Amino acid sequence: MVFDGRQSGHPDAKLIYPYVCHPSAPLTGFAFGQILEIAYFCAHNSASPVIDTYYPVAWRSQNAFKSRMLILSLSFVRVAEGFRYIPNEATHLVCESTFTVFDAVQEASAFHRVCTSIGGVVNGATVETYISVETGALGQGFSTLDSDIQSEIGRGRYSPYGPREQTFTVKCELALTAGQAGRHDTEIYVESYAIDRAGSNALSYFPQQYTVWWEAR
Amino acid sequence: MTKTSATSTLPPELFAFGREVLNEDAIKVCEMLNYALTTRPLAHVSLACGDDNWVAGSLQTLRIRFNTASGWQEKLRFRIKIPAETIEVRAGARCFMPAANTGLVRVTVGAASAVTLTSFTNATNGTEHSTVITLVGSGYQEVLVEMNHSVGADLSYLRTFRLEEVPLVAASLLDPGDD
Repeated sequence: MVFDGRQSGHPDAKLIYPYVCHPSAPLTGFAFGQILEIAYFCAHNSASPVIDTYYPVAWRSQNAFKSRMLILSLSFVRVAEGFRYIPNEATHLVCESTFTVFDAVQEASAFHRVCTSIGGVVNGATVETYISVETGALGQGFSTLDSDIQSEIGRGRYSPYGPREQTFTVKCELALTAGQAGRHDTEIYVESYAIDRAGSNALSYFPQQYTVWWEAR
Repeated sequence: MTKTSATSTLPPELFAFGREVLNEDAIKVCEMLNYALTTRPLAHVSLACGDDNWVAGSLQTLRIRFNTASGWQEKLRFRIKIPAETIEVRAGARCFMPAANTGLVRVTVGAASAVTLTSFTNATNGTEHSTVITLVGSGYQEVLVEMNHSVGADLSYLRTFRLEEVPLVAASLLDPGDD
């Protein structure tokens, strides 16, 4: 195992001890250890963007909504993609997804995963977001939605039967395997879909924004 | 001074109190710091731009289409900030072209000459074409992306576009300042 600054202490932000920096202080290996720790802290915390994907229709008036703006698939559909050089020290690809689900009549789930095309298709772990609904008199709307707030932020309503949409932001990540880590100029993409408990797509998935970055952990 | 960037195996006892420090220890630490800097290229832009159904069942994102007529047309214009040590960026694009259609994508970064990527056809729909652009200067630079539907008039679009820095070579690292 390579011995380096990572073994010298926790990679956390710290100051180099003042006496190390004194003009008369002797140079020690301990000082090198501190320098490397700080360098690793910088690498550890400087996540770098990989891909950004936007769905500008999400920002239009929802008077213009059409079913073609919803993903109705019962299995994974690509919602974000791009190409990126992945450096040696990257250990994870992380995706933050913002999406809206519509018009559910029962509990449902949305699924996300981030993938690369290195050595064929390698899929990341699937992250499931459980979406609960209340069984109220107006039919079934999402329990946490406040229709006044909804109007205030200009989203309007999709269904005449009451508020039935909810916006989520979730994270999913791909731990790079030995084959995926290292210097690769590769395709990276995000897939998702939503499905209700009955296994149908009465629940519709509306993509908004996806950001992927890599991290060194 | 030779600027190098490399991973090194440092002797474990280097970090112990009281251990003597050799010149080569400092060089190894420097090399590792340089390595971390040179192999972490920054992505300035990486966009999905597809129209409806860029894969089965997917939805339009930025929906950047080729014109139906041939001729260059501006599609994207933005500014990026280039660090002083960066001398090259990689511009890459992927397009969707129906059969019997050809599209061209041209990228201009700052004062560097415009570069046209390898032409896009139906046969290259799954492929990203990219090229390395040598920059002129650093700091804020304007990027212009133009598209030309050189053959055909069917619905065609840009699917992805990226602009990111090429990993540095050690020689391009900035010189240390003089005291």
